[in-house]
Amino acid sequence: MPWLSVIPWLIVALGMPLLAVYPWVAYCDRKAERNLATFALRLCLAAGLGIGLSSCTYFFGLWFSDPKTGFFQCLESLFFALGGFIGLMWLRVSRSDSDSTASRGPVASGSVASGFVANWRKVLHKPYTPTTLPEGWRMPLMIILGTTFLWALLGMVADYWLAPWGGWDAWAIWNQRARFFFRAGEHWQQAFSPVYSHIDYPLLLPNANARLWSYCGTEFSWTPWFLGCLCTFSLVGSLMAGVCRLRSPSQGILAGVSLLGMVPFLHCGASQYADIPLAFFIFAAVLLMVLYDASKDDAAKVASEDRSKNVPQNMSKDGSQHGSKTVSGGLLVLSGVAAGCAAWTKNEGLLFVVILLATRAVIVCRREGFRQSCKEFMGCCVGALPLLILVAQQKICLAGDNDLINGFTWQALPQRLSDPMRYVQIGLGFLSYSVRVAGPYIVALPLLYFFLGASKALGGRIRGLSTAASIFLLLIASYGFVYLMTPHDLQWHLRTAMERLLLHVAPICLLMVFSCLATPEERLSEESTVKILNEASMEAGSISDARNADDDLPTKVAA
Amino acid sequence: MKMLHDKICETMEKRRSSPRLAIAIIYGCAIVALLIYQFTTWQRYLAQSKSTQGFPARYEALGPLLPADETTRFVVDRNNADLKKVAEPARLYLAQYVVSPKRLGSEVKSSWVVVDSDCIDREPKIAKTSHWTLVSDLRNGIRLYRTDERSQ
Repeated sequence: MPWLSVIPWLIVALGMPLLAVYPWVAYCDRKAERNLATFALRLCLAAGLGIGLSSCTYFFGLWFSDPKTGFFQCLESLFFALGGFIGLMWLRVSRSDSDSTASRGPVASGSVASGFVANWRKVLHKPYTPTTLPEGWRMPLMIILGTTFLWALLGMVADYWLAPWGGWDAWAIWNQRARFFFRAGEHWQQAFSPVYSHIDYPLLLPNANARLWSYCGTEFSWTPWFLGCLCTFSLVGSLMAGVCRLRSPSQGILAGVSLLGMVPFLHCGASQYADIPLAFFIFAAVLLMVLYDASKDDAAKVASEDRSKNVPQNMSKDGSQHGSKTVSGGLLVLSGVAAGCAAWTKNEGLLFVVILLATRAVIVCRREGFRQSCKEFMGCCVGALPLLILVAQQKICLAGDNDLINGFTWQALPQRLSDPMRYVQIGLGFLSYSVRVAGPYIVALPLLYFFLGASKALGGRIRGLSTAASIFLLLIASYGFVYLMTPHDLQWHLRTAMERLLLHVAPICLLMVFSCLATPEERLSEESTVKILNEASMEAGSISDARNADDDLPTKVAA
Repeated sequence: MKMLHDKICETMEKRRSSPRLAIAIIYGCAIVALLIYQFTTWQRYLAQSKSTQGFPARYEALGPLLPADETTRFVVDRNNADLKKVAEPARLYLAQYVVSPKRLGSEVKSSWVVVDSDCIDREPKIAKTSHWTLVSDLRNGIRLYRTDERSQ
């Protein structure tokens, strides 16, 4: 079996970027509690971002050398190894620094290196605390998750069996370009000849696929499918871990099972389309924003508690707090990187970057003032800018015309805007395709609200969720506007793209729903509280009955 | 009326503390949806004709025959009812995908033409009327011709 011999190379190709990105993700998320959900979230984010960033290195390779050569692959591996090592060192030093803030250990007193050496053991062996599930629920929930995952994987395998070369867009655009990059050598720029369709599309997926082929040394049809599966399950893992961190482990599992049960999502992933990687990056950017807001609220809560207890704090000038419960601005930078990767995946990603930055700036400006808004905006931009420069370079030097922009005319604008039938068609399209994407969950999620109810302890999450909700609504609205302006036949355009566009926002929708719903743990604790109260009241009742009986006894005796 | 309202509220409160039922609903929906997904995928696989399953493989032998320095014209023989099976633009995109980095285009002038037809035995009408010279017949409906046109 020839494919078995390439497995080590595939592991190197995917593992090196993952190992390089993981310490940076962990560094940006270093203030989080160390548990299994945090580890899983970091792993999933590192896997997705690793694919995104490694596609950039391959693109550089195309410009400056031949990325198929062993020399380039060694250079790339060295780059990732160095990046990972620096990230790891930085992470360890920052951790040991925060661990020894109170005592000011060797990191503060000596050099960075001595601090690193002195603390590496402690930091490396700091254990992850297991995320707890309710007693007696661990096994059933694991079985539920495991069987759903297996069925989902089987479905994707069946899809591969049906069409190993993927769906229409896969062979007409993404894999076709990847083949060109892999096969054409120095003539790779001919992939942007006008005879091909959609030559303006960004190049994350073609580069990532071509990179895998160049590591394997041959074109396996299953590597694009494998990449699609990896993105699909990374997205599911991110959703699960994100909800787990925001709410509870069982709620995270419910969210993951719901996403795995969305058949169009799995089908799109197995069809090797770029929409699932894009959905991953959009979701990662939004989730990191939500987590940043949640950490901000936690920090504010701790600060107010400390103030009420008159605990002296080590506050900086900008009001952010030093110590274990501080806000990590790295999450914003990471969110920017994810948004940049979204722009490098599809044109819709560019729209998302604009929406994300604008929404964030407006919301923070209203809540915390212009200064904080600028600060956070800059944080996001720092992460997104390198990738946006890459997209701009591709658009200027390689990409051809965009079909939607090319077909746009100012004469047609008033006619399209004033046509009520277009609005009706788009509205109906959104509704019908939403039902199609959600499948049985269109009924199940309202039922879930009926059985679990809304969370009473939403508190600080509201801030982050409002950002997520704004981005969700603005993305839907902007997609609607693009449909309104489309020069193509509207029905055809709705039929061919609407389902995939809804998949971009479906994970955000699930994140919001499962963040607002009460968790099974909450309900169970309520149940047990009610049970205890009932038992207590029954006991009290029996005691009072007994007392009454005791009071009646002398009269009975007298009688 | 008030009693009825109280009763409904009480029932809802009872229902709301049913996390097990909520989990069962989510799991049930996921499994049913995934089973239907499996079933429809395999049904599609079985229903698919053998010709369309291996469709991209039709073009594989074409790649080495095409010129590297020129975009070859790709024409679909429209005089065939079987064309409905695989749409015309799909044929071009599939062929482009299979033969890359050799270039194929539908609206280009070229000294080479590829004609895609479902009819294996009969020569395409367009080739006869245009007086193209047959260079290679792949025996699966794909034929490569030489024309007098110059490439752009």
